[in-house]
Amino acid sequence: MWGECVSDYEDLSTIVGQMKRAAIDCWMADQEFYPVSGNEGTYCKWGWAPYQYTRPNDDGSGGGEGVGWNVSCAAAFDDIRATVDGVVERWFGLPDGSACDAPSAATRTTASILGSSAAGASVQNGNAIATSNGTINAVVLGNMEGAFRRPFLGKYYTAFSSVQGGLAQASVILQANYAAEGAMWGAVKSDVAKICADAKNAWAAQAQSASAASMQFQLSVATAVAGAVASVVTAPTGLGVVVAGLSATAVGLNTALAKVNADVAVGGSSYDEILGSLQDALQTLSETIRSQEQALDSALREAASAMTAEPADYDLDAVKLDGYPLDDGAMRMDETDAGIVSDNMSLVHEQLTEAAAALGTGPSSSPTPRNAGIGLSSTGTHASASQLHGVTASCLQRTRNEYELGRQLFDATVADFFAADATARQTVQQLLADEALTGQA
Amino acid sequence: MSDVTSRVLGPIDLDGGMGGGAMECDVPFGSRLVPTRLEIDHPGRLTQKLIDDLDVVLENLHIPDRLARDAVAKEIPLEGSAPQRLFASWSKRGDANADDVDRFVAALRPTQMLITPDGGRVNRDRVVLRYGLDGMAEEVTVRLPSSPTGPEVDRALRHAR
Repeated sequence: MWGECVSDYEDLSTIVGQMKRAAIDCWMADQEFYPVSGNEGTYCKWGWAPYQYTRPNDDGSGGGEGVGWNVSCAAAFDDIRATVDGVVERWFGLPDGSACDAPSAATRTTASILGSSAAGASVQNGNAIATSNGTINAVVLGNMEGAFRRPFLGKYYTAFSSVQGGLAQASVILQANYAAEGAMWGAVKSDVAKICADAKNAWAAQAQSASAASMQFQLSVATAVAGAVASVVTAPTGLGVVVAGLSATAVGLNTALAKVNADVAVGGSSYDEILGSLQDALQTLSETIRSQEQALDSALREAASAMTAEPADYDLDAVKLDGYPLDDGAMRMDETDAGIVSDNMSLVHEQLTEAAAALGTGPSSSPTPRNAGIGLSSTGTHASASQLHGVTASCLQRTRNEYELGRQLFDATVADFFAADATARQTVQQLLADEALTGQA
Repeated sequence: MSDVTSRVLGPIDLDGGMGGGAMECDVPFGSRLVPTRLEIDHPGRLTQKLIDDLDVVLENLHIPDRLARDAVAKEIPLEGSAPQRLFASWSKRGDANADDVDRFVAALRPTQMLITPDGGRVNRDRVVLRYGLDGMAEEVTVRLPSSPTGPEVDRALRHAR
């Protein structure tokens, strides 16, 4: 009698048509008009009295003409249909989030190469940079002598480790954003379909004079997004762990999203009450998305701002190389150790090249476009994500180039020490001069 | 007296006060005049429109009458129902045939009518009809509510006045 229950977002047009008819049924029932048993194409006053109006079709269209009377309530039916359209129309054409798959995978790969433990255990080569970096430090510190070690390790081990970690965290925040946006919209679609179906069912039940209980549920988007981010961002554990920098931003994002816990209730005892609950539920959904995107956006902006404010923590090019003495008379190394250091610096450079290639340029347009009034804006977090993506890519590219210059400087230092190349000293001096020009500090 | 007038009931003159009012009169129902009571829950909200709408029902009493008789006929097979018991008593009379449901239903005559047009959701009944049979002391009550569920027949038989 009341039509098939459809609650899949892909059938939203069908649901909305059914909502319109159920809403009109309820509005008529509020005035004690009910479909006539055996002739359900018309409403009768009290269900049996001789006042009849035609009933809308299953898709909500038509109806409202008097039967045997020169009267019409079609205009009122049109108003109800327009009201339902007005409430629901912005929820059509939602993205499916699949356009986030590629940037999510790309940032995941970048974070993994840069050694983020939060990037996921299934990613290969997650520790290659850290392993090479540790080898470089151990060999230079343990097997070599000379004053050059202090500025060399200060920039290309200690500062680089910090930059590597910072870039990894920036990539994790980007990944969290894309993972969240990717997981969000399937859940939003499900929530929209459920809210609309619940409103339709509430109107239908009320039209039958059966007061339905208010249908209360938690929006699935709340847990979907929090879960997606939690799988990307892992909070450090253990006593005395100090979470700072972008790690704090990422963990803060996790915490903020876990607090978003929205319940909605659709129901009521009249057309107007149920309409109000529908509007409230969809508004709550929009505000939930907005809260989630606000948390993501804040983390993205905070990260980009930190990277701009403290470039030395994210860009090796911004790290000054301290005085680099060549003639202190204490320099000592053997060729095997020098080769190990150079080889490992090459490996690190290769990893940085791979990380930069994986990061790429990011989406050129919002991967989750939607109508205005849903979430943060019609483009979501795209602007902030693009900004952080751009800053991260630039820092990573400059770090890669700067690290390569460091490798060349080390190789030239070694060549000069072993007097293997008559131009080595000149090369070292040229590289140091370039370093002084390009260094930000 | 209100300035509201019914084409069937005449001037609407309710006894009682703000908490509700009622009037009684006889209404033409087929070939009879049936004692009728009109109860208004909200006299302050009584309008000519409400009475005009009610008049359309009262001028077409064959509709609720048909619905009520159909409801009675439908319940005759139900063990213990008021129509079944009244039918059983009626069919024991000499001139009745136990299978003659149609004749039984046709023999029913309306004896009372209660009209409560503004009962809202508290009182869903809009027209309540009592039916009896010549020479029998018990009557069956049929309620026509404001509802998509159709007429309801009381389980209890009531004594004729």
